[in-house]
Amino acid sequence: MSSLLSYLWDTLVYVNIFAILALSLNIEAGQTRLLNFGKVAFFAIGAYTTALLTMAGAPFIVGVAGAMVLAGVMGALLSIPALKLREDFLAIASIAFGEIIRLILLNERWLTNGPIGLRGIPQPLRSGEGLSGTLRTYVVDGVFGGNYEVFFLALTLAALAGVYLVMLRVARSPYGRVLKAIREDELVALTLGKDTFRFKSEVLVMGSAVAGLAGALFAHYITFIAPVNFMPTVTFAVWTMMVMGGMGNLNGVVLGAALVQLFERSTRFIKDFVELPVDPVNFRMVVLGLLLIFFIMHRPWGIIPERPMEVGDE
Amino acid sequence: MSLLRVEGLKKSFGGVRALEDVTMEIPEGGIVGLIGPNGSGKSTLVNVITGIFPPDGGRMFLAEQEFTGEGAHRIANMGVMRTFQVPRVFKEMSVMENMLVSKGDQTGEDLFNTFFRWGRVREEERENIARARDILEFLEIWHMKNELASSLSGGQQKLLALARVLMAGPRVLLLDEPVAGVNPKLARKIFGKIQELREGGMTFLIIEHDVDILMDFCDEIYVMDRGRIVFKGEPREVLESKEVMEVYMGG
Amino acid sequence: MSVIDLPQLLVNILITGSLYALLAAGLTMVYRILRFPNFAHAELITTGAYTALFFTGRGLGFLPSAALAFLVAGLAGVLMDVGVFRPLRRKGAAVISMMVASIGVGFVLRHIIQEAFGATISNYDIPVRGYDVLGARITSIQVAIVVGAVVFIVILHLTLTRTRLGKAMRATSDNPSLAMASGIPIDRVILGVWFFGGGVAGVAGVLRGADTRLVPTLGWEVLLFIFAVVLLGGIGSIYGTIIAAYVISLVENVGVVFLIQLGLSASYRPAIAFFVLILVLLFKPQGIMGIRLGGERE
Repeated sequence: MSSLLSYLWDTLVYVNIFAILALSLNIEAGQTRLLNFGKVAFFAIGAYTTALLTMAGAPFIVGVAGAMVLAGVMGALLSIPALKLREDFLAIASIAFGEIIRLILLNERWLTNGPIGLRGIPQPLRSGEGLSGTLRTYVVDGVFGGNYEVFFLALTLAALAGVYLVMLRVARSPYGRVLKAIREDELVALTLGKDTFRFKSEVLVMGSAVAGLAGALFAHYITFIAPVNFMPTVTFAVWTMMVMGGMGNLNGVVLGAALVQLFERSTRFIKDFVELPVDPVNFRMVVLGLLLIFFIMHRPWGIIPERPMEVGDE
Repeated sequence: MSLLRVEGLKKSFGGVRALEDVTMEIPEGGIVGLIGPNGSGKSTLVNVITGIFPPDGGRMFLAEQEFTGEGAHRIANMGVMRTFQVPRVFKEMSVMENMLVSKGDQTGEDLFNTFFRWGRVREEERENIARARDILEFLEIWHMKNELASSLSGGQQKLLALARVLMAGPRVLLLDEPVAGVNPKLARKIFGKIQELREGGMTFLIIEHDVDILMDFCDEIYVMDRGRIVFKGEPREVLESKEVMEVYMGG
Repeated sequence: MSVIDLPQLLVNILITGSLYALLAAGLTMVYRILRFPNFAHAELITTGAYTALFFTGRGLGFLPSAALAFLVAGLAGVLMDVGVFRPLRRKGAAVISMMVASIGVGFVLRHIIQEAFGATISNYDIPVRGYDVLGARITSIQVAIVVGAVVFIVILHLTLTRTRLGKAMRATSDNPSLAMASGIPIDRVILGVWFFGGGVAGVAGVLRGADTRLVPTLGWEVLLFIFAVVLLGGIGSIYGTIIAAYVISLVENVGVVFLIQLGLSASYRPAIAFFVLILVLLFKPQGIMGIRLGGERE
């Protein structure tokens, strides 16, 4: 029973982390139509940055902040090809960017330890003296009764809530409305006086920083990371979450992340009990691919469509 | 005094000369027409003036302030704006959202303000909704305010595109075939509204394929052919002009 | 290996360039005619490679197996269009939908192949001979790559200039609505492009697989290089693509020599193509022989 519960906590942590990642894609692709097919690169940058910082002794908060900053800076770099009024160029450049980051992770052994990856990434409030020891006593032991898994779940949930609220404010603001206008017709937005390049680069910085946050949480959760965790399949799964849930609708995107993660974790789970006739990874990818194609073809607005604002008569 | 002035504009696309030495003056508060056969360079001229393509040569001024080589959004922010032949409304946004997004210089278009000056953003939003309402009521599509723009009829989309650009508050408005594909009754109505706006001080350059509709409304008409201005004069002079007859009758 | 082996370098440039021309041809044709980058092109390449593996494994010769790879990969291209892209076109879907759908199609195909053949490395069971040409080593497979590229270029040139199909293809690429108005059956032309483009990609996959090895990510691994070639060549320009294939090959083979001398890993080879790609996007988005697409939208 306790292992089943622990399995549930684990699944929910994954849901939270991937919901953050899906929301970071949504502000780019769902709201602004910036096709980022290299999302996994920013997830990886976040994970490796916080891992290296905290393994060198920096506190968790510093690691996470560093992850977000570096991922954001990389997002600014990626926004250069987005200068042009062509949506296919960014798509191609972002795929290339994702592959280059993976090459760096594999080859710069002095930094990333190559294909073996980094092990023993410290977890927040897991151990330590002084302030972190005191906090552990009050928070992990006091509030969560010493159950570290539940504490981590709460931590990721808080991060998700924070990201959600930020994204909600943006979506409901004049700023978010300009993003929608760029999505609908960038040239018209430009002729109405919007500096569309400024908006697009800010969005890529924001989206990348949030992806960096998701990567940082992921690294601290699984405590060892390697390039194999950051294959293009991650980007692809996140796209399926967003398209299936409903591009542009925050609730839809979170729901999509939850559904895809539940599916993904349950195929892993089932594998331990039943002899599957097919490889679970292949099964998962084919199903996700078919879902992505189905939604794009027949329900492009997703499970929960985006809703425009409404004004009354007075 | 002219509000918008362009001098010797040139533009080529891969060896094809789309504009050759185009000079034009639009007086403040005037309605100037621009006619010419398909492919004569009318749309290219609008694209160059509004900064979508940089000119290969020539200069452009708004109220004697030069804006040659500026980016499209800067030119728009100076007050030179346009509509397109196809309405190009933001389809998956409501009519009201189409209006609100168009207002320039909003406090809430900045990320910092979005998070830290929300009160001010909300207040501005209320003012902008009121302003949008005036314009939508003036063009008689207020009742559609919460509809998605994609659900509007073709004629309504034309009106929305006009309403949207008015919301931005242009000084000079370049209208690219504002009544193409619109039924004659609505076309008359649109031109009626344009005249009302001119009486309020706005300046217009109107491109039309069809000469007749411009006759009653324009102060002055320019005729283009193969990238050049071939004639300039009052509407009735255009009708009597030999050059114009040649252009249209296939000289 | 401190001194640059010039003859070998030249031969390598020729081989890689010929392979890139074959790998990229179908992508640039579809990109031009349908206005979207088909990311599933990678899996058409892989499909071809594994089709040949299937048939050579059952005792069929290498050449007939390569011919079947052309057929199967070509049909896979046709099926993609009929099953996914044509319905999307009919609905007036945007370029973005096509791109996302193509990513989905690619993943489905790649993992079906992985399920059928396993994720491990395979090789064709064929004898490979080596030759010495003017002091450079070249294998029989590499000779086949160069010959294949030459044959393909000649056939393509004749098709485009001498046949009605070729003229219809060019007309459809330039202006689909005008082509339709002048009575060209554009749906059939588009299917022809998918079949031919997919088939050439399939054969290129076989050659790539024979020259290196087969993995289900075979196509994905070369996709970046192909995009660099297509963008440099100018989207949709067949001749531009062929020239660009050799240019990218040159930059890459020379670049690797520099990488090694700079003390960097030769595995950064794809990064060279990546930088060419970014430079093209920034400074010459129409490519070396490209026709500006969609410049004026009215």
